[in-house]
Amino acid sequence: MTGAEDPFWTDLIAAGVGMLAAVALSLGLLVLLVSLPYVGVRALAVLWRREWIPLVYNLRSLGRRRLMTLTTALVLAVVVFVLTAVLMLALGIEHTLASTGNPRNVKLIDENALSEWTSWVDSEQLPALGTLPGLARDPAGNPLLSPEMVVLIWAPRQGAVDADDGANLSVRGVQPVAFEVHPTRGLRGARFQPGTNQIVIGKALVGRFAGAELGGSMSFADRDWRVVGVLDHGGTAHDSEIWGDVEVMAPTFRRGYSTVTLTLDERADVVAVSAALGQNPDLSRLLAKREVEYWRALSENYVGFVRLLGSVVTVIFSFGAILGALNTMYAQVAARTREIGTLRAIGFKPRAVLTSLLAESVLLALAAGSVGVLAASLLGRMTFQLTTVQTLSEITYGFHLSPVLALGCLGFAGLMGYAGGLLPAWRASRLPIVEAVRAN
Amino acid sequence: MTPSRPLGRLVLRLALRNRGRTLISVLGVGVTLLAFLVLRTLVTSWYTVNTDISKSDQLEMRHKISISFVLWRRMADKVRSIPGVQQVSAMLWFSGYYKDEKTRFGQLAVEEPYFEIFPEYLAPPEQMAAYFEDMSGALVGEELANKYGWKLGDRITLTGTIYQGDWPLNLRAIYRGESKSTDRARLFLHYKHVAPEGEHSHRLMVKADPTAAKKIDALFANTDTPTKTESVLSVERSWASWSSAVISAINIAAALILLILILVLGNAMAMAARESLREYATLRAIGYRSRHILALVLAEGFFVAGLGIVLALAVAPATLRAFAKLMEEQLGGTWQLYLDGGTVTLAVGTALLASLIACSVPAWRSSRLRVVEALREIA
Repeated sequence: MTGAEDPFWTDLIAAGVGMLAAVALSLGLLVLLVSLPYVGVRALAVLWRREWIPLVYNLRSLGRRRLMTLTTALVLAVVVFVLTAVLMLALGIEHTLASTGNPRNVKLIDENALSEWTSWVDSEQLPALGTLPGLARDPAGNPLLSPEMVVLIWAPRQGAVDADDGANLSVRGVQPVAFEVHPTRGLRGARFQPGTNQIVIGKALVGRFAGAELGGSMSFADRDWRVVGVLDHGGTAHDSEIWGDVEVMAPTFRRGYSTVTLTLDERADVVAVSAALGQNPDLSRLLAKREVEYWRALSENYVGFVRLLGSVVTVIFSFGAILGALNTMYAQVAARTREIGTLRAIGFKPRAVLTSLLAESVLLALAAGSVGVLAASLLGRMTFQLTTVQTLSEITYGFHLSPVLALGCLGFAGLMGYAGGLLPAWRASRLPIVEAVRAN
Repeated sequence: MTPSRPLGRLVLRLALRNRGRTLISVLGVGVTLLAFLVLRTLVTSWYTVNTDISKSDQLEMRHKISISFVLWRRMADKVRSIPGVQQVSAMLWFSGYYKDEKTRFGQLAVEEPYFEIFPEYLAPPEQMAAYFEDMSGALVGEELANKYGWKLGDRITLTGTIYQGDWPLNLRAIYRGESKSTDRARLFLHYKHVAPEGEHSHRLMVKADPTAAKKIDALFANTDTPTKTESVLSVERSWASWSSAVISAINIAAALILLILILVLGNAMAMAARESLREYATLRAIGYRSRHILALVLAEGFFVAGLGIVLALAVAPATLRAFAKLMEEQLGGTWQLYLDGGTVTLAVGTALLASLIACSVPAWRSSRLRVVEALREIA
């Protein structure tokens, strides 16, 4: 299928397949949509008149064909597991990056810069920044304004055998005020002493890179840096960073400040900061972004990719699962023809049979779905490392499960059960009694 | 007794007995295998790590301290004087977009020697000559040209981000790429055009004996721009390894698909075998051996699986194309997703193995049935 070949035939096949798939999908959706009021009215009638078939009948039936029930449930559980896990991964990336920002913080960044490490802020601009409106202040009355220098460095992994085994990490040169602007959750060891080659590292780096431990020594920019503290930022992107004194680091890297992060007091907002920047010709080159937005934007493309991939795969997966459920329920109906006939003969209405079998399929799917979601929730303790084109540095992420996500995935499981059970249940409800009781 | 010939017809008859279920099973196998193909293709094409021998002489120089620091263009002259070095070209990432902020693709500002270092990006000689002639010329990959309907001579206006403003370019050449793994969605423009007075270079690309890398780095070790030189291949490998978390997630999903395939097919075959008990018993009663029944069930399973495999392979190229289009619309960039022989072999092989596993239990069970009891039970 290279461009060298005539793409006519593949295009023709693609168009044909696409149309077939579209027709099949829309037919399926149409059947599902049309069936909802049909089934809904009957289910309500069954509930209203208290003429349902006892649920224990369904449970016993499922129990009688244990192997078949289990394989179907396993298929459904695996599908739900994959869906949940992929969405947790996407949400984890988004959550890690979005929670890196403090909602009250604003990041000032060069308007041409795509990211912190390509941004430049002149030190002559700093005094003027101190007069911006709405700055929060520490008890001593100093503004919470943190000029920072961000560079990427190459760090070899712990126990690396060859020189290429490593990753890029973010190094953030800061002043002591940074610890107020980016409140941390905890600190093992001590903060760096200004004017020295001491550094503090995020907890996600510990043990993963050469020298990255309390009392260790990391080497980058042709110098050795002593690790005197390990910071806990609560699972954010800062946990994958190295912090040191900007006055020492700036000359070492021959680089000035990259960005400035401000903390605003409760009443101020980013719009006022932007307006103030625009009025001062010396500062108009700076762009004020909410810190949360800056980090979230870094996650956007990658998260979009993972989500899209996850949904496409899940749609294909769920086709397989629905077909499996369909097969199982058809077999259940076929094997229980005589039972269903008997139920009808002793007075249960067709709608009771329909509701009962559909409930059986949906409940089976929900049970399997719960197993899948539960299994995926175990991933919540796991972390993974990624270097994306947006961050360029390696950041440690965690899987993240939200209640909405868990409920959504369970709902999806229920939907698969419904789709798989609909046609067999409908057929069962329309079996002629006389023939059904005679079947073997 | 050699019932080999009628066995084939029997399989067909048995498979078509419950047509609804056979259809569902074939679709189930086909759809799950399709997902497997999509995922594996995504993994193989993620970072196309080209292991061609020709690539080992392609080196990339960057700043040793940080990947975001720039090099000096004048360093190229010093590098050229090292024995074993044949060509050096400066390179800038232009990082612009076309019409919409979302439509981004690889845009490299390079010098003439670049195309001697990377011969895979070569267009017909007269087109290359036209490109070298025109300072605001552009060389693009055929994939990109097809996507936006560009013809030679067209004017393409890029909007710069690092290099601000609108950049009207003339399309002078279209390259096809040596192999499928060549990125055919790049746009090249002249370094001199982007930075007429330019002294910087994001990277320096070098064609040299691989052993020259150490000599290059030694040359700049004690300057204010220490360098790190490695092969383009290992740079690509590094990027692939940094995404290994997502790649292994995709691989796990692909493995789980096979599990689903086994379960769906196994379930269907168990049902089919159960329904055919009377037939099996009858066959046994008229002289077929248990191994024939075993073969019969297995053959039916492989018949269903085979149809599913054929279905998946027939639909896969179109699906990949649609998937790539969806990715491009949603995320921008250019996605080259093509089925390759290795992926097909892997998919067919694992699908057959999975079918064998799926059918073995029902086949074994059916072959061991007690004829008398089975006949009595059913009667």
